Amino acid sequence: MSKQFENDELLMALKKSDKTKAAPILDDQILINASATATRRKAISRKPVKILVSALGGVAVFAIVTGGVVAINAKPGMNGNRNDGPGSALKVWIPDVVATAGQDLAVTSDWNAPSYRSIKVIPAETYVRLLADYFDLHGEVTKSEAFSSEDFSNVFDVFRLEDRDKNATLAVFDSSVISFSLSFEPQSKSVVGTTKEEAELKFNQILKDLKARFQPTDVLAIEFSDVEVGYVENRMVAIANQVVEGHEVEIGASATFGDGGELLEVSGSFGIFSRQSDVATLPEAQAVSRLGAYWDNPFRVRAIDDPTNNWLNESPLPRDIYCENSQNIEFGSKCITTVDQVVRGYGVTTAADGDTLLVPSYSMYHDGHFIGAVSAMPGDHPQK
Amino acid sequence: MDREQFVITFRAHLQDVSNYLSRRVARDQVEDLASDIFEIAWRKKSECPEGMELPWLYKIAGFVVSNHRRKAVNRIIHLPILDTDRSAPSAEEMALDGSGIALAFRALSASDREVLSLLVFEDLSIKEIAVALGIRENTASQRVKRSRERLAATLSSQLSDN
Repeated sequence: MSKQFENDELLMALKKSDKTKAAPILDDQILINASATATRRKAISRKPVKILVSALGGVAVFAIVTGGVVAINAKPGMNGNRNDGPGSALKVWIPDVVATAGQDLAVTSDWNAPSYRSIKVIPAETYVRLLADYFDLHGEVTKSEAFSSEDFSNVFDVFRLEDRDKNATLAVFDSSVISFSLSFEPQSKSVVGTTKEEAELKFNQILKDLKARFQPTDVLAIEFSDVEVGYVENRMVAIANQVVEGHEVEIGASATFGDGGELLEVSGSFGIFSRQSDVATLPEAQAVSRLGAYWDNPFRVRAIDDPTNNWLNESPLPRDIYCENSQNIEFGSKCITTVDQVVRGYGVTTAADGDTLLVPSYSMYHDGHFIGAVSAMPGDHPQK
Repeated sequence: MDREQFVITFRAHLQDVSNYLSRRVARDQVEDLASDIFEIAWRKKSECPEGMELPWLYKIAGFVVSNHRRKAVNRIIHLPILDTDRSAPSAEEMALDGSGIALAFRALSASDREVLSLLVFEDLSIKEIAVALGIRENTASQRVKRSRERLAATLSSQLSDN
């Protein structure tokens, strides 16, 4: 322990209480592997890592290769268009995409569509109370720190409530959408289990109840997609995406159930959005060039089409498929591909002022494999 | 830093990282997460502050552990956040004895446990804790002081209850 505290009896006593299990011995091979090329681990499919990447809401498959993690959304001044200093970010390398528009892509656009901007109707502290009331949690609400995974700066206030009797922790993030996380310490060692139908029913009821509590008047109604139930790391998980005026978007909630069917975690985001005026979208062929860089690319959006966002089903590593030069990609090189199919949808991105935007978007494919999704909004900077 | 230098530089910290992870995750996850940590370290090696390799590795490790715990069940990822509460040693994973101080430590908030763990179990100095948590040295010093005070208060409260 630091010399400064060597005479601190309290801390020394704490140190002596450590009976840490013997840690595994790690050998040099980990370091050697780590410093191998970026593609070295491409054939390894480790579900936890894929889930981790999926959990980041749209991180491209290259992150799977490395298991790295990164931030996508950010507060004002931290959105994707900023100029990161070399020391600020902890981003995993993902090659730029150099894409050519296939001959089937439209060179003109007949798609006029609205976008949607999040509106903050109720303070985060109120949401803590609403959620605590619904889940019958009791405890003091504290405000704490949360760190951006980009640069570890203090970005969001988190309002947290710990119910020690129920071993439950509730956190609500003070952001442009209602984001929360509620976890219960596992209480049940039961192996009774629960059925998918029961989980679906329970989660549907939670969504219905939360919608009723969160839904302010005079705004677009909060709707959800059908609940999908599956297994993640041997836990039953139910998920649903938010639907805004018929558009399913990559914002949503999930619930995890324990062996006895008890609720272990429920978390997610709900946006309350206002409809913006219709705009003429960019032609598909023109939007292809927006794929470009993965990081700091204001045109990239999070889309439900992205297979890495699918938690319940294994997804392939399409880079090996959609990059025509996949065999030659090394650190620093580019992915060359052709976009031969475009699917319209709505992507999630962050405005320069921190609001969450739902924008008309194109999900782009090569030979049926998802490459990425970009905003279809005209203009140089869709987030403004 | 070439590959050989990377291996030489970080070899000395392999076991520290393993110990750090063992306090925070299941044993069978240590190697996988260590691989992730060193892969990120390799990619970001130019950003490692000289002489601060270990706390810098802990910074990455905290990030990896935090996100590992977040897993798929947490869709607050739409606002991806590193929360120290998610990287702190959990009461279940810490192999503390049954002493009063251990019980008091377990009763602390996750952020207090994280700060004290870096100081006491990971043997970092205040300056190194600042690097590991990505905060200013002065802030690290204050957080250590407050966490220690809360540990003392919790212990005192437990003793008076008994």
